[in-house]
Amino acid sequence: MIGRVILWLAVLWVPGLLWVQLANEAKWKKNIAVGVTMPLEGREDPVVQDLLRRYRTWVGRACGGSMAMGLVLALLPLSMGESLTLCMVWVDGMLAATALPFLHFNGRLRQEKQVRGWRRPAAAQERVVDLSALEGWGRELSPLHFLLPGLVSLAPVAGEWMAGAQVRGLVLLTFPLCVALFYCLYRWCFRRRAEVVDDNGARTQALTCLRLRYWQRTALCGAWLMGGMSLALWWGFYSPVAAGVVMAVLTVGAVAAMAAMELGLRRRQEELTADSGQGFYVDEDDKWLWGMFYYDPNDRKLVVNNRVGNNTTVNLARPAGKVLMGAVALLMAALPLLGLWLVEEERTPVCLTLTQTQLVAEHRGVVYAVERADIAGVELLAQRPEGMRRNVGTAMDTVLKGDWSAAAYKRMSVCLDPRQGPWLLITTQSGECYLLGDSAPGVAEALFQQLDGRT
Amino acid sequence: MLLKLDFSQPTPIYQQIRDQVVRGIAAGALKPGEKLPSVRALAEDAGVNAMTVSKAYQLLKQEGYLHTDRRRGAVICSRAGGAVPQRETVEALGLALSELRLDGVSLEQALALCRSLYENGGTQGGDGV
Repeated sequence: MIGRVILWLAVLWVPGLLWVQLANEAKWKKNIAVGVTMPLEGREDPVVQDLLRRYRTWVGRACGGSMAMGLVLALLPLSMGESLTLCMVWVDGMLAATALPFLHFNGRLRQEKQVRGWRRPAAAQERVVDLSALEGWGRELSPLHFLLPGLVSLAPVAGEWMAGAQVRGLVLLTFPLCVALFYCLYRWCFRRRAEVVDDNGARTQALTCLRLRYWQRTALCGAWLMGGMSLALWWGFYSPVAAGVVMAVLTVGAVAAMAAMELGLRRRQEELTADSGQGFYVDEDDKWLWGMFYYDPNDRKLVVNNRVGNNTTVNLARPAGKVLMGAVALLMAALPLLGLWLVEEERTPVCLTLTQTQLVAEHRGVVYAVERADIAGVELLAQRPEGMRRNVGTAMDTVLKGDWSAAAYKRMSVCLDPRQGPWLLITTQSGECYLLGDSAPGVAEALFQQLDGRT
Repeated sequence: MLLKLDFSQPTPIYQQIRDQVVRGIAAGALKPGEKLPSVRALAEDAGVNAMTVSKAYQLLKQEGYLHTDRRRGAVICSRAGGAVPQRETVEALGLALSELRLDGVSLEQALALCRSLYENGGTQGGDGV
């Protein structure tokens, strides 16, 4: 139940955020709205303004409808796996539904631009470079700026490793790696390109400096989020509920900060280019398929900046760009498979068998085999041990498996069905501990009697 | 100053860069002592190979429009030339004038066009380049 609530809470707000971003596309920034560049004359045209008004309405309907649909689906009494499958199908549907108004009105605006003679024929193969705006963008961030969040995120790793909890340390190592990833994103996923809108050099310089500054803030925000998450997860090993709340607060705070930065940059771009488009202006529409995907065979760069806002994308004319975008599309389409996999996990029973030489617990390819000769002690537990916490593994309503800890047992391997007790607590001669069970009633008791007789 | 690189033109990109920098100097948009962006920065921005930009800069350097300074990089310089035009320039002008003549442009019109281009740094309008 809690898992389902967390699952839906994690995604139900996305249409709201998408609405804010997509509705913002209707505001003119750098002479662009809904992925279409127009001169000032076009921007003030009543037909164009009416199209933008209708676009906003349709975006509102798509996002509102998606959210309402999500709320209904969230209330369905389903298992975790079924909920995840439905949720992922909903995510794919929601993304498609919210993209449709953009695609439709981008086409309508392009058509209007063509008919009204606002399209510059030379623009298709042209690239404009402002020689005076290529340098002097302000100070770049050094790796040292990422060092402090990196050290903060490393502290829990060091703490766990010094305490001998190698697995937990490895799990926590994800966060310093993410800090390093944010540095790499900052350094290599941002194209150092001047934001030329027209022949106003001061405007270009201002837009370029702003963009770099916001990109730096975003990267640092991400790095510090990872530092905070590392501390919160560390705390979560000892106080799961409180740490869960802290992690939720951190996530909400980071999403809010990122959204504020994106909208803040967009607002500045809007203000700075409010009077642009009167004489010469840059028009790169022909390089942006449906106003969304960058395709320019003459551009050697793979990672390029989005025209408005703070994001980056890839050049689909480069082979690596096609592979990356294809992989993302495939991943999105395959999201529901994740839920189906979970359904299988839920439905497959845990099997506990005793052979001549081994006690074997098995669940969907995960096998825990204990040599009978190695068993030092067997207990039949009617209650699971106090303070059981998962280090690495699965925790679902129908199966618990993986590497766990408990108050009385520092570390144990678990494979059992939590609905079907009692469970066997096996201790080996080498000091390893196993908590095993079967989904069928009576199996654990029968095996206990056989094993207890032997020991 | 804006560079407009047109990839649909048969003129190579390095030549377009060279030509537009020369025009920029003639029009006063680029002044002697002014620093040009580094080869890397210009290549990154334009999305072209660094060798292309390097070739354009080499050409400009050979022709005396640019000199490279160890500290400042590529810097515009005033060409220390006399009043006598270079042979290649005269040949190019001769060819262009022949084409105008074949197109039916009169001497007066050609001279007026030359004057306009000369005064505007090689461009007919005041489009910045």
